[in-house]
Amino acid sequence: MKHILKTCLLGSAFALSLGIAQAQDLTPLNSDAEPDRMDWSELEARFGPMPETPAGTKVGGVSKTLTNEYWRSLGEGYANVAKAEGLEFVYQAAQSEGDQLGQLSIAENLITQGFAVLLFSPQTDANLIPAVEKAEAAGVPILNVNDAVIPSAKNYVGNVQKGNGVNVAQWFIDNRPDGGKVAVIEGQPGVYAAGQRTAGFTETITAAGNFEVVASVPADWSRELAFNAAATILQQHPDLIGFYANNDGMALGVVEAVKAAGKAEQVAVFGTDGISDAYAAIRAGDLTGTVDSFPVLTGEVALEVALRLLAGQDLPRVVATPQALVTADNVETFATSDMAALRAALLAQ
Amino acid sequence: MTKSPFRHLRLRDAGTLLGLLLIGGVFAVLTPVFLTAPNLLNILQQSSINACIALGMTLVIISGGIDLSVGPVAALSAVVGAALMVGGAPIAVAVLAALGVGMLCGLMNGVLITLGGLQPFIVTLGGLSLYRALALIFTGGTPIFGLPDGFRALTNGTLLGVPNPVVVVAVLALLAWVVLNKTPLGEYLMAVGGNAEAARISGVPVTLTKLAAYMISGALAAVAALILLGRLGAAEPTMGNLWELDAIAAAAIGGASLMGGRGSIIGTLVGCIILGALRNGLTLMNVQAFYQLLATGIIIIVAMLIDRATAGKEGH
Amino acid sequence: MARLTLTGITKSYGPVQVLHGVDLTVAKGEVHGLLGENGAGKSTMLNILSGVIRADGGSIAVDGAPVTIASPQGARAAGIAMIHQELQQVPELTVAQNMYLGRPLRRLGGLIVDRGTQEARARAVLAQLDPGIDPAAPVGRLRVAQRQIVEIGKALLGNARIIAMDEPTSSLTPTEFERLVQVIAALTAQGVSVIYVSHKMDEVFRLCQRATVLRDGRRVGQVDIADVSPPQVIEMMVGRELAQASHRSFATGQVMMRVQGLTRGRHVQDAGFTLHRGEVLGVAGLVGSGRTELMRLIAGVDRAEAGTVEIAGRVVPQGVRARISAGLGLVPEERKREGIIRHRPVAVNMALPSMRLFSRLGITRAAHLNRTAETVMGDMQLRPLAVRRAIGTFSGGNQQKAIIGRWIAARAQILLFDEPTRGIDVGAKAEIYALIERLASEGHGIIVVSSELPEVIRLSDRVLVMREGRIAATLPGPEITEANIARHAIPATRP
Repeated sequence: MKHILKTCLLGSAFALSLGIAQAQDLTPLNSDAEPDRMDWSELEARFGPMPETPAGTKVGGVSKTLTNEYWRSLGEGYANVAKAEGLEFVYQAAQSEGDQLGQLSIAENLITQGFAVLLFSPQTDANLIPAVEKAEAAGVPILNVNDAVIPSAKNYVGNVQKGNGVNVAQWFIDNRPDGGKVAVIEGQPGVYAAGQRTAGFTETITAAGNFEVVASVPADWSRELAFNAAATILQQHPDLIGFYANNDGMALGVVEAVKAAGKAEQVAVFGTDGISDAYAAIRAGDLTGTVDSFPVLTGEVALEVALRLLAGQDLPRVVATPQALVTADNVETFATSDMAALRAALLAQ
Repeated sequence: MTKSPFRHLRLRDAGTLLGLLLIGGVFAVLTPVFLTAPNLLNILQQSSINACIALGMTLVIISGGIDLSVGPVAALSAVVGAALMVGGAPIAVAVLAALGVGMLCGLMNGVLITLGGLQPFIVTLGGLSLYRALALIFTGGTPIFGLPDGFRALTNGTLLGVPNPVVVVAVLALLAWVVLNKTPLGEYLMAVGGNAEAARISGVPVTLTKLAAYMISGALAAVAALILLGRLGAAEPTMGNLWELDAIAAAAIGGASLMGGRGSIIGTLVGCIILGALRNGLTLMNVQAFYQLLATGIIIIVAMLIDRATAGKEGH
Repeated sequence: MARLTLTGITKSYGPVQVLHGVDLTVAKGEVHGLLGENGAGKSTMLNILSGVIRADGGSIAVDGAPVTIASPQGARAAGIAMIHQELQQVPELTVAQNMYLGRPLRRLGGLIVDRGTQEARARAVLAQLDPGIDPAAPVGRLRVAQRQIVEIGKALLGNARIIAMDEPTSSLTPTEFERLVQVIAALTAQGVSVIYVSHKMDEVFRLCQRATVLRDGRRVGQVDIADVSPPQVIEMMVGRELAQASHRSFATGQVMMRVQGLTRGRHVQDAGFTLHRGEVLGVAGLVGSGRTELMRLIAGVDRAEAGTVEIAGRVVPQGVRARISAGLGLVPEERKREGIIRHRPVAVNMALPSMRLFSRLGITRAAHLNRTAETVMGDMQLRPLAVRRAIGTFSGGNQQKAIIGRWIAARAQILLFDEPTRGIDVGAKAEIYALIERLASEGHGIIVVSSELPEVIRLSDRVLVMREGRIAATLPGPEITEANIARHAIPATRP
């Protein structure tokens, strides 16, 4: 043991001197605040139509877990583009949302297999760092796609997480001019997306002056925990006028709590993500709205960005993907599975 | 008695090894990449963290206990070590502090179990939440980035082409093997796990033995945390999610009895490699994660059935 | 016509044949002894009868009709029931529930267990055996003897015509044994046949009409008990005549250990005595009189509330390890639970208290350990002399030798034996006696707790008689008789 330590010490001194020499000039990425950015809608205008990619090029995606509809939809988007461009396509995910090392193994295993580009959606900001470094060494470009942000990522495609919260706050400011008490159901503490969504909502709505965020509690992306939290908040603040949940699953839990309290008329409930259950709940009038980030379309945009990068185009570091507030008024417009129509509707916004 | 080099290889370990060869053979036929040197090293590297945890878990299981808190202990060690390094402490100090945190957590588990007379499952289940909470509170839930490159170089380097984490875990495994098979402590672990009351009447220091098992488990969790810390370049308070289950699975595949008294370091190592090879091979074949889960489950159950079928057939 | 006839039963485990064509005939209403040393094949016969294992060859007939016994259910259907040495009951359930365990009475289409009827029928059966047992009481609250009777009642409820009892008296007091004698008489009066497996010759000669003797998987013969003497039967069992040795004393006047005022709850109160070098001190008393508890206090396994243990003139602190360092060693009563580490080799089981002697710089000296184990265990005639084999694979007598060897290897000066020959066959018993005498002759101080009076009388230089947690009498050599011991052991007024 002593010997190992001694070796460690010597080794570290040596490596430290090397490390300083090759310090990176890339600043750690913050996907919401990065100045070198553009919106997806400008891609065609600024960089022209999609470049040709040689047929049979291998592209791969690694995402969080396929138990979550969002990541299945994202893969569907990848597959759409891969099919249209005639690419060989592999899509893998970890066994569960918390399986950090499993995802790392999968990513590492893919790197050795001759992919032209890999799209990573990491479990956490850090868990895929070794794979990114390994890919860099092997010369395989990596695109970081939603929603955890690898600080050393050269390119990122995804949501403006803060925008989700801002959209919902804006709805309250526009539609509840008298203001009132609102509450936030947060995702897992420490997760970037959760923090940004909450911040976007809270900052925007507080700035309006006549709203008060009376509670902001984490429910760890769990529908059940969200239900419990919402029930407690409603008991404490019977005059509450609205909830914002960091994702749709939690929002649907909140909806049940609001219904159980008999306050469906009084309390507006918003989610984030736009999963199919959320659309159904909006149509049924249970859920007031959600901020859809259109995972299928996001997947398409992401792979398009990857192919543009492969073709040598010098895109900004961050490409923001579409999002829109979906309510009963516009639910049918956004519910389409025709991606071309969806693109048109979003571009028209 | 013949002096064959395999005279220490017990029947059960040979069985586990056979299982590994079988799985490896299948993958070698199905995907040519599988049997290449870089990929095999890859498997070892990916298995090294689980192996590190599983070594400690095996000793604890042999002593008749269980340690469900290894993941959060790793996380707590990682964030403490990382905070020190980022704060400018020398790497050696941070490493020792992380190991200290791991052993302290193990000591606390052990004290509650031995002197407190509580069940290991419950104590370490409590630890699972407690240590995780401490890691989250300590960091405010956000990862600690910016570890010195000097530290990262330790885990990302290689020795004669073998990744350092593999070397470190191999050395630790050898130590664990020596402890279990060649020292009084090893005999005490097996005696306490095999029959605690008989061990006590025979004068075995039961309390100290159990404390040692949990402290070793905590220290090894800290080592695993340091390895991952170096690889990731960041300490996340959420590190180590479900590590306990992978480690228990590896130990069980390797022949450890959850009733205590029996287990094998060689078996556990091979068990880890089986799990790693399975994940690697199935990914190479582009099999979905759900089926990987299925395969893992089947392997564990098959290993247990073989255990059952061969129970008592072993002479020593 | 015979009630039960087994003809030419054979059984092998792999290459090892354990039964070589054994015959057994039991008449209606007979108590039939099944005798033999450990390993003679008694357990295999019982297991075949109760359907736990299947015979390779031979036939079984009940009341003249051939039956196949493929499972425990099959045995039950054939009218055969088994009373195991270790009772297979669920302590939390009531007497009636245990008696209907696995085949509850149902009503309402099988959905509901009919507890009322269960209890009524259980009461009816128990009334013939022991009316004092309440069918609604949890079994865990009963004494072992009563639990055994519950098990017999369960067999009767299942309409058993043949009941096999495996060492039924191993944990009964003399009074409880008398009760069992009455129960067996009640059974045979109903025409039930009893197969009685025991090592205790006095019981066999009191209860059985005939006996079948097994040795090495073969039937040596069937005897009418009226025609033979115990030494003859023992000779049939072991194949040689045992030297019927008488007591030899090696006691000196030198005090080795002084126990004063030892107390723990009501189990042990104010116990005090001295032990001399070379002395064998017997401890007699009824089950529950505090004998085992006293041994555990002296060995430091349980903490004493008061009192001291003084060895070589110095008070030894509490705790097992302190007492071991002072030269004490306990050979516990329940070998499986308190004695052996089943999966570990004999050598390791032997070396546990003295690992320090067998290690250097923290590393076990395996070769030294195995050599020592071979010497010590060879001296004690471990059979087979394979010290690297798991102790669980040895017979009870050999396991006991390993545990005694444990304290010899640890160089203990004072050995406490709690029921040293329980569950050990006749041949090994004689070896253990010889060993105890040899240890005494070498200057060890020895305490022997035993429920078998002949054993106490055979071995002891002095006898302590315990009664209700106290030492009721100390009998010097000439006064050690069954009558004297019994007089002091039995409380004046029975509750």
